[in-house]
Amino acid sequence: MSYFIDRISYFSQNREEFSDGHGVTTEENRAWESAYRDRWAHDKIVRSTHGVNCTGSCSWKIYVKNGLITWETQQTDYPRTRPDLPNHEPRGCSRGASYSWYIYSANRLKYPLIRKRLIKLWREAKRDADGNPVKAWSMIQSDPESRASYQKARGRGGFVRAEWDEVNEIIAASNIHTIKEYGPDRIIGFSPIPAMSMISYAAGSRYLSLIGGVCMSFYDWYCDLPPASPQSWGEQTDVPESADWYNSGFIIMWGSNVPQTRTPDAHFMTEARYKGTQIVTVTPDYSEASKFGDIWLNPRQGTDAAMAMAMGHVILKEFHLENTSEYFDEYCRTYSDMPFLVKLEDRGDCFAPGRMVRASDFDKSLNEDNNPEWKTVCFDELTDEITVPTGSIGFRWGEDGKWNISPVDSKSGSKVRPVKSLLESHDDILEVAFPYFAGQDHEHGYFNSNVQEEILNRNVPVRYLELNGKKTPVACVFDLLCANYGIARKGLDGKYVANSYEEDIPYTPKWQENITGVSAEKVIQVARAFAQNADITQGKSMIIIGAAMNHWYHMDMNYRACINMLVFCGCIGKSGGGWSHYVGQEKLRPQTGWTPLAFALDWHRPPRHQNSTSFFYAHTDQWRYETLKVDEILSPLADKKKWGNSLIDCNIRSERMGWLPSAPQLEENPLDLVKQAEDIGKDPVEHVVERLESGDLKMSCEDPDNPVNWPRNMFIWRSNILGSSGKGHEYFLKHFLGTQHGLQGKDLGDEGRKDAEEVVWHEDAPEGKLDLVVTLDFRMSTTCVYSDIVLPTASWYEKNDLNTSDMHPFIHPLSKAIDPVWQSKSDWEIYKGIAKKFSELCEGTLGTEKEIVLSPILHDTPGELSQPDVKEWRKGECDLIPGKTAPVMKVIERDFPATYERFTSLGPLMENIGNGGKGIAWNTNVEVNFLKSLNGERNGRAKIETDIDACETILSLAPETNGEVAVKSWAALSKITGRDHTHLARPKEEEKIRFRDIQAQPRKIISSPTWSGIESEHVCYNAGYTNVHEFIPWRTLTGRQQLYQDHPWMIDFGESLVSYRPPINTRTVKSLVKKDDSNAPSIALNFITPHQKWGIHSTYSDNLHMLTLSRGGPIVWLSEEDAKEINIEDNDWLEIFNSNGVIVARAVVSQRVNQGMLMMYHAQEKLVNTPGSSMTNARGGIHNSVTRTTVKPTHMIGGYAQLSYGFNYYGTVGSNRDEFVVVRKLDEVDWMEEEGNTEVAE
Amino acid sequence: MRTLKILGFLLTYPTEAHLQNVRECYTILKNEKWLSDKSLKAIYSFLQEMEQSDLLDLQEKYVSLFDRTPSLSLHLFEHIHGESRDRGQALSDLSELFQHEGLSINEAETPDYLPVFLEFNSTQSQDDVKENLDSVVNILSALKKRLENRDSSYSNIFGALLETASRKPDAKAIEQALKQDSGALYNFEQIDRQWEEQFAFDNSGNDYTGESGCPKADEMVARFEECNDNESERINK
Repeated sequence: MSYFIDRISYFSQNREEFSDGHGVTTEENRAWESAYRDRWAHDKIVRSTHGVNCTGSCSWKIYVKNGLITWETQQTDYPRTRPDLPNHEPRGCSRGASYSWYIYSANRLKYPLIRKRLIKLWREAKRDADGNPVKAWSMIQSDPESRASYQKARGRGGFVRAEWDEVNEIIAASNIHTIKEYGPDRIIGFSPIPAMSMISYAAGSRYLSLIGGVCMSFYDWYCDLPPASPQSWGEQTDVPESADWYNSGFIIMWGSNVPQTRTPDAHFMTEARYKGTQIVTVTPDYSEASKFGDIWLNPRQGTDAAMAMAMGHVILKEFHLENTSEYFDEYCRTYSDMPFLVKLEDRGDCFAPGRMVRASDFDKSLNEDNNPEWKTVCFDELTDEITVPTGSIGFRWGEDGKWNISPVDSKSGSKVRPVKSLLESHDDILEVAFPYFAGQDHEHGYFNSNVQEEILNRNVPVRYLELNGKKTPVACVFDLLCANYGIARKGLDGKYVANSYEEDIPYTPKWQENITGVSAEKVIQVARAFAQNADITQGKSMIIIGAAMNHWYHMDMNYRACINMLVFCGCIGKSGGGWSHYVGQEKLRPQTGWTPLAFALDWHRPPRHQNSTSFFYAHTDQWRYETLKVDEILSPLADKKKWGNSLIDCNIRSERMGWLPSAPQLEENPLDLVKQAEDIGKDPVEHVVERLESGDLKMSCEDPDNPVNWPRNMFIWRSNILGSSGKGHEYFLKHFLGTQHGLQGKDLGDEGRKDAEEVVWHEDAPEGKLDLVVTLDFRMSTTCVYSDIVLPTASWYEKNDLNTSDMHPFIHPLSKAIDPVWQSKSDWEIYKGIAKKFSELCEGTLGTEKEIVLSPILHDTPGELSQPDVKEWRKGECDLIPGKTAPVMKVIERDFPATYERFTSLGPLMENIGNGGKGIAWNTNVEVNFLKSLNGERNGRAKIETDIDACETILSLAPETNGEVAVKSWAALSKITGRDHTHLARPKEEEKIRFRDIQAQPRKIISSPTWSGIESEHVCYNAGYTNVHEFIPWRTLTGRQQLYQDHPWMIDFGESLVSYRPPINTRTVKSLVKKDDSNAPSIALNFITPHQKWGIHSTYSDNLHMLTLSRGGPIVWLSEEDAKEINIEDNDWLEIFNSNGVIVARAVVSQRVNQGMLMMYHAQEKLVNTPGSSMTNARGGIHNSVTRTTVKPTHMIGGYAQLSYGFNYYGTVGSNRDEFVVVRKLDEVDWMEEEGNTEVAE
Repeated sequence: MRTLKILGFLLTYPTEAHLQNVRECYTILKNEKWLSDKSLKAIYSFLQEMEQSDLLDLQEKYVSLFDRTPSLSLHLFEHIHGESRDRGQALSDLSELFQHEGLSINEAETPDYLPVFLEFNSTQSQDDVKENLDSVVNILSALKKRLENRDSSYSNIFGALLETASRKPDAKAIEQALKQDSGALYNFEQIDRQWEEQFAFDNSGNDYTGESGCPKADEMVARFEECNDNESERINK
């Protein structure tokens, strides 16, 4: 009898001999070793870091003993800085130091998991389908009951372990079925912040891009993208490194909690203080950052723009008008749009600022043949003539050598001196209308208004020009700014301008007092000191700005008001000065080396990208509950009849015009569309254009609730979207996933149907759009709990990868200290495995297929000049011309069975087309050949099989890590600008950073034109540096810093110039008053979600040690006054709700918090100690349970210079801080003991 | 000595192999006569239950018990070191012990996984087994009680394991452990207790009762008060 038990063993006997008898295992006593091998002995130290969404990017030593991780300590071998500058070390924080606890913790995912109901259905279906996996999947999907049966179990436990092979088969079958049935654009993937682990990101996005799936954006969805940055600079976000704080003379830390959320960099702040830098902290509550401030300002949350406007008022008045700072004046003439001319539109009783004047407006277009409608003009002081200075965006495309901002006239090439103000040379003074929003009432009366006229008419000096055959008044941007800020000027009388700071006129220091609660005196003091320092030091004043400012609906006002201060004072692009927006580890330094790998640009172009905010707004059906109407946010100067009521309609218009991306794309399968065309012998693009124009084919965005337009498969990796970033959590649960939810409100119903002009309104909203949710993680996060398949991924000490940040200039690795534990695998290996299975299963269903791919009109391409006016093909205002008036359309051929082959090798397009980024392109054959010899060749292609191969691919292709490429890329830019920039990289031409180099020590990257700062031994990295010092234009309409936004939508929504706009009314509280039958007293509070101290978003928040340091579960902070009003004591359980959903959490009653504010740190997991809610009879939600996304039309603009789409560059953002909640004591705490609720609470 | 290995096997994730070999397991246990009749009977009922269940249900239950509930973890060090940094070192020491006995783990498992630990012991002398099991007897006992509180027949296996040790569990320690986590689903007091503030610097070894303060803070407050007294005295003079 052979006992099975003998065959099952965890052990093997150590061999006595090894290496053919050359080595022998002895039994000798090695006790003597213990003296030094004891507690602190380890076998090896490996360099790695934490691939978490924080900007720390700290290098760590990982100690390994006997193949097990024992602990980690901070690395202390960063390259030294120069004399007079502190070093970067020490980096790291308590969160990072606790990471190794995860590796073997009970929360670690050890095996692939799958929902029991699904695997049961799968095995049965596969049996019935004679073992055909694709057929099996389609059988499950065709039965609504079986589909719903596992959808409804999402979030409610019931996982079993599964084998890799089986789960890969299910995933691949589901992808193949979806491609065949609906099209590849119904497969989406969400993974954020590639910079934190570039290869892991690229693994999933490469797979998706090869099969035609859609990569979802994150930076905008997180609301970390400040749209003000692309608006002003044509740059997503580029910021000074933290070391540059030390060079500053004056820092305003504005809504950024540096010690708490930028912990490893905070030492620079302390060091700067020691050096004597003045620090002003602006936070509404008494936060950890407050203590750094020589002055602490605490405006009411959400009103920062009002204070910044008043500071701008002081700066303009004192440093530009009364005592002109020579430095500021020169800077603004050269580097801002202040001298450029704006047409004033006659509105009958007044004039309103309109479009910027272009060369095309003049007779013969001022002899500018190339793109005259994209060349802006100003007056030259030397000649008093109109000039077209080089550098505006029209010079960027179609001609070489003139795209630079050294101030010369485009035609004559002679130096010009732009006129900043027409006050000295005006033809006339006109009353110009400015919209005013700060008089609007807030629904809860919490945000104070300052009531004035809705339209403020102020006098502006103008000149008349003959434009398009018509005498037209024009004004300088600078003069409009002075009027907008309400400053009285000599020679310009009139209303709504202030002679003194004490007048309550927008936007004086006095005016803002009632709104912000900050005294005028302090505002004046800070503004004056800020500008004075910048004047003396030539720009060394800095604003460090944080997410707290950006998460409001009108974030652009907060940001632009601060950006204006910096530009007024000549701080941008200056060492020690500038705009330091540190939110999200967005800086993927070797970006142009990474994009080909990540989006499979070596095989197919373009990839499918989607802006997540608009996508989730539509597909989690948050739009059906929208209470903000378009006319509430329109400018009083706009023609309201032009605009419907509904925000989603604006988004649909935008998608149709090719402004924002669209996914799913068309109502029919893009594979079928090409077949249809080929069957009738037509060009597929023409075919689609014809069918769209005739209305016979629609874009999916017009009917997001129609099953043919649903997204079907979703991959989530490196993300906890449902536990952390999913604004409108309960909407996700209800409509996207189709499971238990805590949604309280009803959708708009009849009102929604009435308002829907572009979107199709279905009586019943779908519940459960996704067929399959697959999540990769190393720990059981809230997202895993809601997924159908959970794949255990390698932790940050178990894989090889790359990591960079915007806070320091180094690139360093994640390294494999040990093999992935249990059955986990690196993301690279996981997607490779899925790709392999996918390729195998294609047979019989998918071969080499053609499909049509839509993409928006992109920034940094010639397309950004496509729409000087807004015209809609759908309304017959123009023809549908792909890439001009509508999305770009391209036919792509995919060899589906070759997916694995393509995944693991570098494709031909690198040689055939080359590489590049941000509008610059270069030949990269040398690097491709190098990779062939380094990684090895297969079928004539460089292999990319391992994660290290992938790292080397990035490092070789990117200018930042390959000096030779850097020189090539600067040369390519030099051709466009007509100025030689190669000197910035020449000294490093021979430097090539490889993976083993960064494992030895973090390496400083090489300067490249992808970024606007330089890496040098003399200055710290600072954004805008090359714009200022090399005269490389900002990628905006004027090529200068763009303070005036002249797109028609910007003008209609009242944001051509900055102002203060109060928080919006979300209307989520009042409707619930009746429903709430509890007797406990309640209060409505403003709900805000700052970043926490005990976690990085949700990571570490479930780590026992971090839980011990905080309070060990969901908590909210409120003021003593509010607590008293509703009889709450510290540590009481609270129920927090609005129509979006319900949270249950403990109270932290603190003097730190302002009255009227409720703070819940972002993000606490639903997994930890969450009791039930009496309102939903379900477990209380997470912080996002009470939020809902509200999109903003100005973020939907596209096809227009800097306001053109780019992935994570522009688009709608998921703001959430305008929200209010009802708070009351929870009398009975219900822990939801029944089975079936267990999973979520563990 | 296969009994320990069998018991370990029964504690692994249920697979077809479990269902197919239920009878064989019982035969071995019976033949080896290591377990008492009472324990054998308990194991028998466990095996019977297993044999009659749907495999997917068994797997679901196993994942929810042992994979998803830290207080029921089959990784011994979860109960000794929790998520503390000592765990890595302890794992390393244990694997060194296995190495010393000429055994290396060939599966992707950590050395503190109970089935691994039991298989290791099945290769050791009786005296060593007793000594090894004695060292974890409190954990086994706590797990047994928690599983009982969840009405899980897996507790029967722990009952049998306890028999093989020579030492009796420390009743006080078990009581303490159950107070921390009884194993029952969501006990209000238990979660409330997790919320109670605990002082990190109380070296007395006693449970925190809420009456004694943090010694460092106490000391600091005393110092301040002394200063204040001196100050007020000075002013009064």
